[in-house]
Amino acid sequence: MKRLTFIAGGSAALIAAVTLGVVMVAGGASGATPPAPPAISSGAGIARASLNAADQATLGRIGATGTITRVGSLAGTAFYSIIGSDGGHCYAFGSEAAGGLSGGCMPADATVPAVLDMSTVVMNPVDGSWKLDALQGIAADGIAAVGFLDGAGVLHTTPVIGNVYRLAGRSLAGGPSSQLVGLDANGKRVFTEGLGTP
Amino acid sequence: MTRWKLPISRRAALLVAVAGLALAVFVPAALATTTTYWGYNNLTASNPPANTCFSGSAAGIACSGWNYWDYSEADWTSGHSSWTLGLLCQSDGLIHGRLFYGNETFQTYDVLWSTFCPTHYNRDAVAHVNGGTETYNYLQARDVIYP
Repeated sequence: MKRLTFIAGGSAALIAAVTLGVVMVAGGASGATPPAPPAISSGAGIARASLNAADQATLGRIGATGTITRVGSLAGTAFYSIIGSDGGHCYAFGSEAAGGLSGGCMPADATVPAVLDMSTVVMNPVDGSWKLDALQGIAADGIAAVGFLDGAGVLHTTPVIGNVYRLAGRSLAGGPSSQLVGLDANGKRVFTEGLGTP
Repeated sequence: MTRWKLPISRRAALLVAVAGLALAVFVPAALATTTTYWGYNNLTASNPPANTCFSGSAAGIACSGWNYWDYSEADWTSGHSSWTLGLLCQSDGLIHGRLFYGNETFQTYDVLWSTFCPTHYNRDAVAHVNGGTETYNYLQARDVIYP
C-alpha cells in the first residue's frame, strides 16, 4: 500500500513538473504577458443580450466574445470595447438607436494605440482619390482632441468627450501626407499615425 | 436534503425556452454564407491591377459582384499599407468604408452595409489608400450574407 502511494505521488509530481515546464516554455515563446491597453475611464458594461441578434452574431464572427463596455456615444454613433476570445481587445461602432455594429479584434499580444480610430472614407474607384467622411473613434485618457491632417496639410480637430470623438460631414480630402493626430489638454501633439508609416 | 425539482410541464417549458435562446444566439452566425473574392493576397497600390473591379477602375481595388451583401469582411494577416474595407455603393458608384492607417492589427473585421450605403444592393470592396512609404497588406476579403 505504501509503495503504491509512493508511486502514485511520484507520478503526480512528475506530471505536474512536466506540465509546469511546458507552460513556462510556451509562455516564454509567445511573449508571456500581453501589454496593457491605454486607460479608458469612461463607459459602462452592457449585457450581450441587450444587443440585437445580428450584432451578437457579428461579435461572435469577429471573436469578440467577452465582456462588452459601451464607452460612449456622439452624434448618434455608439462606440464599444469588448474583450476578445483570446483575451485581446476588440472595438466596434454602430448606430446608437438602431444598433448595427462594425468592428474587429486585435490579437492578445498586440499593442493597443492611444487613439483607436474608426474613421470612414469615401473613395472614387476610378482615380483612387479619397475623402475622410467621418473622423471618429475612441481615445485613451489624456487625449483631449483628435485631428486629421488633410491632403493640403490643414489640421482639422474635434474634442474628445468621455473618451470618444466624432467629426462628420466635412468631406476632408486625404492625401499621402495625411495623418491622425492626438492632442493633450495643452494642445500638444502626443499621438501621430501616418498612412502606412509604422 | 430536499431536492429541487420542477414539474414535468415546467421542465419542458424551460427546455424549450433554453433551446429557443440558444437558437436565437447561435443560428444567425451559423446560417451566414461567406464568399471569398480576394486573397489571401497582397493588396498594394498596383495589385490588383487597374480594371479588376470594373472596366476603368483604378489599381489596388478588389471587389465582389453585386448582391444584397450584409457585411463586407476582411481577414488581415500582415502589412503596413493604408487601406479601406467597405462597399461600392450602387447609389453613387463610390467606395464607402472604414479607413485603416496601416498600423492596426485587427484580424477579422466586419463592416455593416447599412452604415455605409443607403440601399442594400452593392459590391463589397477592399482598396489600397494611397500613402507615402507604403508597402502592402496581406489579407483575404469576403462577402457575408444572411438568408
